Amino acid sequence: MSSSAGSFPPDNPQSSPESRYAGQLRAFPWLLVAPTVILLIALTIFPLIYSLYMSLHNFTLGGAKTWIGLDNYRDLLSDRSFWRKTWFTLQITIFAVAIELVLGLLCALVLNKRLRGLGLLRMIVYIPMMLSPLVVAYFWRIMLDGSFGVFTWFAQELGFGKPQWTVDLTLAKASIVATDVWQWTPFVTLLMLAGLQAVHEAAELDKGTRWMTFRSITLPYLMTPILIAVLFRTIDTFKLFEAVYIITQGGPGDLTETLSLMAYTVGFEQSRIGMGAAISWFVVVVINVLATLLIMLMARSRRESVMMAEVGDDE
Amino acid sequence: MRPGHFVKAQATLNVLAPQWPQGPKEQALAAETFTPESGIAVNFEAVNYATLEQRVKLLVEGQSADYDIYDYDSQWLGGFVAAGALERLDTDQFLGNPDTTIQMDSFFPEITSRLVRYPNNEAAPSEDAPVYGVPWSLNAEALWWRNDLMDAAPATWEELRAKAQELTNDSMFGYAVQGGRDADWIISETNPIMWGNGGELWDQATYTAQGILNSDSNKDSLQFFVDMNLVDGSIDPASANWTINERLGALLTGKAAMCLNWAPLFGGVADDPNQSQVVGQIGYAPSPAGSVTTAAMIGCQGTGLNTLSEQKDAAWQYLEWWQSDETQTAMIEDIPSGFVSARTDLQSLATNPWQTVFFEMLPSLRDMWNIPEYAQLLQILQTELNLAYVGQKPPADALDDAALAQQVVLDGSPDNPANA
Repeated sequence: MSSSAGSFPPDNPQSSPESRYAGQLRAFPWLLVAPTVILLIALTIFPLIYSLYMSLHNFTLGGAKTWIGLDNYRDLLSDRSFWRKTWFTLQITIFAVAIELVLGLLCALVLNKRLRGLGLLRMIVYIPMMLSPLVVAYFWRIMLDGSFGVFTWFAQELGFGKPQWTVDLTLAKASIVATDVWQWTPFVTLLMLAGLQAVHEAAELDKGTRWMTFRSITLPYLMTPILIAVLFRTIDTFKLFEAVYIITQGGPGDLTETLSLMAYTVGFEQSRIGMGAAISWFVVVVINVLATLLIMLMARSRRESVMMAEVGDDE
Repeated sequence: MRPGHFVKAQATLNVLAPQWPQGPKEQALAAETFTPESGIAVNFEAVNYATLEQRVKLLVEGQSADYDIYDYDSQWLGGFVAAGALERLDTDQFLGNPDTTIQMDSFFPEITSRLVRYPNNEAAPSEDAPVYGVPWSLNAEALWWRNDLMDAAPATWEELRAKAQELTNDSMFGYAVQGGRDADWIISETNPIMWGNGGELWDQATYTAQGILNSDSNKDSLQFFVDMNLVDGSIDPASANWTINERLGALLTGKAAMCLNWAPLFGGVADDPNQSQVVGQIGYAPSPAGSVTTAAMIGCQGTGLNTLSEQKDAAWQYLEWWQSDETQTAMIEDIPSGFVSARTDLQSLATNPWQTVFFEMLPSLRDMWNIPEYAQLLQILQTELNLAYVGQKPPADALDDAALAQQVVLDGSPDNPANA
């Protein structure tokens, strides 16, 4: 057909090459992010929403799926052992994160020195956090065995008998914390070292005592790395699974069972998918509340740092 | 090929199995004899035992026909049947077919009643209960004992306790256990004592645990077991979170003089110098007797057809090959497989002591629950047993708490006669 008499339908002014180009320009960013968005929806958002949907059902693998509303949550919140496990998870989180912060800071202060050989030492210090948590847990399980573990051997040699690291409740808790501290203190060290690079020169110019310099210069500058470390380590430790699953199996009894292990046990070993999803959602909510609080603290700390810098500039 | 059955050439069967000692030999035999004869290739996927049960249930949930054959443990049977994972086999297409070479009456009834028939009451087994599989791997917990330290294996639990005390010294414990609360570790230690002293886990007919699990007899049995650890000191206290690996390791490295362990599963391991420091020093005896009877914990696995398989005839042909004289004989003769046959006519071929002890225990085999709720019942009891074992809770209280919690689960079961 000839188009000499004009096209039909009439030309849309928006379909001119310029407007098409403008449209393509507008669409291009969406095209670039589309794969990520699609993957995010498929791998994260949909499973998250679906798990919420499952948590509202009485569903055991192989059985019928029945809508029960919030009954799983009601049962969970009225279960004393659930609260005991929540408290234990919080205890582990508080102890592990606190120790990691102190040790991480101390390590960073040492590694921040300009001494020969420290570069190699830094690399060695970072190794634990590069290992798989599952592998680390197996190492520690073997080392902590109350019969043939290397720690037991040392304790015996030092005259402490045969401590039951994974059987005695107090020692079992300490063993879980120790494993987490061993693996993740390097991560805190890394964050602190990054922060220390920024304060290095300021600290060198100060003429006060070491403690005064640390308290009034180093520490304020480190507040942001400290809060970042607390944020990441709190989120991670509250989800702790591998160390507990491998080292104590949640025992003695279920006295060292964390919420993540409880979700796994209920959801996968007992096949009670609905209840397992409800436990997981509780963990998600708690972590989000903790993370929000920490992010608010971080924002305040940043504002104070900026103010401090401005005051310094004025002076 | 079996008459009356047509199997398309170049078919491939997919088998989902646990990583089991007999797996490699079965695969090799299938490649050597089954595939050349039938034209059917067999692809094995052996997965970690701890994940297999959930894997099958998830596959069924997703209506998957990826696998044609599922190998399963005895306690999963009820859950798999309820989920629709296993094809019923006592039908005209399979066991009822006059041409089939598998005959249910060729197997030991003690095995089939617990391993392939469901539902079936262990206290009053029925030969008419529906069939969902055929035997795959047979085991029971026998007493592995140091024959260089003792003249004879203890015949009763009381004798074992006394002998364990006598043999305990600075470098060795008299007895080793798997005391962890995961899998079926600690319950495999306590069940033979409880059953042997006349106790039961539940009443299957009425779905009752209260008053049965926490009976006086069971409380005494658990106290006896705990005392071996906490009072006698004849068991390594580290065993409270040991698994099957540490228990066997303690025996094979000479750190323990006796332990219960599966037979024939680990077959020649004690006589393999690469794995054992006590070569030629291990004897095998039936699980000791209690004050009422002898009870040995069963550890058998079955194999069945995926209900959703599109190649059920080929899969059945494979099971026929599996149960044939040639295949079963080759498996029995392969020491690393640690194998005995469920076929009564092949019993005489199993001559190793770790094989013959299984048949000695045949009349005393017992199993725990195999209903869909078994995992919940298992974890409730194991948690309480572990607490008692380490002294965190008195044994009587532990069993009272376990019975109470288990009864809630049993009361809510759709299979509970009271809910019918």
